[in-house]
Amino acid sequence: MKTAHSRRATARQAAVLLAAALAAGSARQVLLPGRIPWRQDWADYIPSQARAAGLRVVDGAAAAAAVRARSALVLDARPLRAYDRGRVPGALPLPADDRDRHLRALLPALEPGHPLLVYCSGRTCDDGLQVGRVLAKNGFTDVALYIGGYDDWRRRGGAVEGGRARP
Amino acid sequence: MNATRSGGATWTNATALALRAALGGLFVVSGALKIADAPGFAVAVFRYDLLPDGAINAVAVFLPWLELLAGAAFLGAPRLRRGAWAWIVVLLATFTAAMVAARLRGMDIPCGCWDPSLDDRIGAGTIGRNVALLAAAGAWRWLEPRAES
Repeated sequence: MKTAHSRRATARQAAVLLAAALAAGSARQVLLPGRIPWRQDWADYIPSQARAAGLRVVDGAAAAAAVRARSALVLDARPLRAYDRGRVPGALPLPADDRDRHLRALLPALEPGHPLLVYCSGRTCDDGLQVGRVLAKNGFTDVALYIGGYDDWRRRGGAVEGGRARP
Repeated sequence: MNATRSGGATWTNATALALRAALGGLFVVSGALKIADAPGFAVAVFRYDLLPDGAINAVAVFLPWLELLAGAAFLGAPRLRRGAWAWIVVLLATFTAAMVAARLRGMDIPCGCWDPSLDDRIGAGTIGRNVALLAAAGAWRWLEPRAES
């Protein structure tokens, strides 16, 4: 009896706090600067930034064609442990969290016009975008971002290569 | 005997107070940082890829306020304390489940746990930290009826 009463009191208090949070959040959206839109096109969040940085945005079919034809150097922007677990065949590591060291090793071997295809784990990761931006800043003129990334690659049944491989 | 009992009560009170201050303070600071950087927190929610796109910004607007108010009430509003504790547990459990789900899906993303601008990647450390906070919340609930308010 006492427990049921206590649970009801806890639920009532929790409801008061939820109502206060809804009111405060709504008031902040109306009254204060720095508000965010209620709805946003998140599907275009990474692609629009990639295009603004001068990168081409490619889908899974285009990425698969490039890998099949070996028409681009494929770069994996995920951390090395994820790269070692599994990657797009032929991809070289260029992890966003250790980008500069890998980039120094890669730059002398590449011409600025060499087609590059960068990917990370999926549509919501921005490691590929960060790496693509740095490549564009370093003078590479043909950088494509595979927006679906490794998730999409596996979902499409693409071949996967694993193990430790370094350039 | 009385001295021993009194010493035990002092320890219980001090521990319950310390747990309440730590958890409440953490939630107030965390909520305030997310409110101050709502766009950054919306991106952190987006990275988890768990919610429909249409729900991301609403969560980014309201959830930090719930964190802040739950923390503040846990710290300084005795009449709302149990409800605040319930939200702290629910939120910690939800954040932990989201992190575990991200790891199971092979995602390597910043956790967005406290300050959305930090690149604090999800891993055993961040998940373990949340489990420790859940344990602290459980310990407070166990100590609270024994502590003198």
